[in-house]
Amino acid sequence: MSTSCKDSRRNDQGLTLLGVVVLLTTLTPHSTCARVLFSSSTSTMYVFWIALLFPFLSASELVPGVLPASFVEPEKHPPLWQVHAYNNNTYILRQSGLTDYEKPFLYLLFGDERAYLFDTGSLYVSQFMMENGRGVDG
Amino acid sequence: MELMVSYNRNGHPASFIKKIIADYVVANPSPLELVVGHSHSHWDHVAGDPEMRNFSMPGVTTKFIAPDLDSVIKGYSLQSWPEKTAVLDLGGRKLDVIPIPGHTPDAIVVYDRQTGLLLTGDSVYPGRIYIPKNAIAVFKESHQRLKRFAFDSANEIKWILGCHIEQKKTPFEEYPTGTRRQPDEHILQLDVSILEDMEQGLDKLQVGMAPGQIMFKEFSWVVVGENDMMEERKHIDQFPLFA
Repeated sequence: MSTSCKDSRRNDQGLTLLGVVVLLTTLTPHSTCARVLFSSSTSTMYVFWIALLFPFLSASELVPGVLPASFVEPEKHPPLWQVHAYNNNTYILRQSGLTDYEKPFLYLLFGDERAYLFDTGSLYVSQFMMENGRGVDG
Repeated sequence: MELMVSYNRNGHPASFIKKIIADYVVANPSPLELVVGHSHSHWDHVAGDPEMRNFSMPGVTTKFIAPDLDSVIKGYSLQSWPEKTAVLDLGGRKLDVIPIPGHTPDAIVVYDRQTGLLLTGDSVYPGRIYIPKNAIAVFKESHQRLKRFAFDSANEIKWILGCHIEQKKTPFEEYPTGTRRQPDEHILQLDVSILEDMEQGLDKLQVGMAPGQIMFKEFSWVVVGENDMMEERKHIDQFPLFA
């Protein structure tokens, strides 16, 4: 089961960074790193600690993901749906213009116990009405 | 005609959804409940409902929230519609469900606290935001509520993701209704600041105004008669349907 609490990720990254630095200074007490971080020059020490902690303190709490440069479909033989993994538990689907000019986007989000699908796609309204016997707003 | 109907059924996403879930379950083997919801009830967002309503696969149960106001209120346990938001807990991942009636009476926006993605359906996207002329006041109130939510420091917004793209990369330009292929389309994502841009144009929307379009840099407002959104649009065939 994946840990998906958004706070844990930031803390993991920050703690890993801190751990590496502490390990370095412990293993090599006379290194430049150790001398700067525990130096008698207070201002230098503060500057380096702030620089070190800055990414940890200011990092976004959000789990990152990647969007494609474009959702324009290939001219020849486009897939009926483009499926893009924003990250390993967030999916974006786009319907092909082949099946409907509206080309809507759907979203599929996974949690530990539930998944959520936002919308189910498009087809010509006349065909939708034909198949379902109802109009837009029911 | 029969051939076209059967071809277009291929546009339904159930088999693609099934594949994604199957792959996900291999990596995360535990029982899953699939909650099926909608941005709103328009025909171009609900076409796969007949399959998704009874969707089933091993280890997966389905909760289907029908695209109508009563079902939406009950399905997400929304209190005092449209004033209050509701939380949908996916297990280690919480979604906020925000009522945003205007485009349709049952429209919602979904905020994912884990990724900061704000899924805005047809209420905010790089394209034509259709507003029935009898819903202008409701739309304005909804927009204010959405903006309050999005600019609350507790809710960090990574991107606004809508459900269509109709705008071109070139500001103030769009593809006409019915365009199948849009090689120069705007990217999907919008910055949260788009909500400010939209607010600055809200005073151009007046109750009682005549139907028409007002173009902005990355979107436009299209005020339409109450039933105009039902009419079938003519396709601009840029490449053959049966490619």
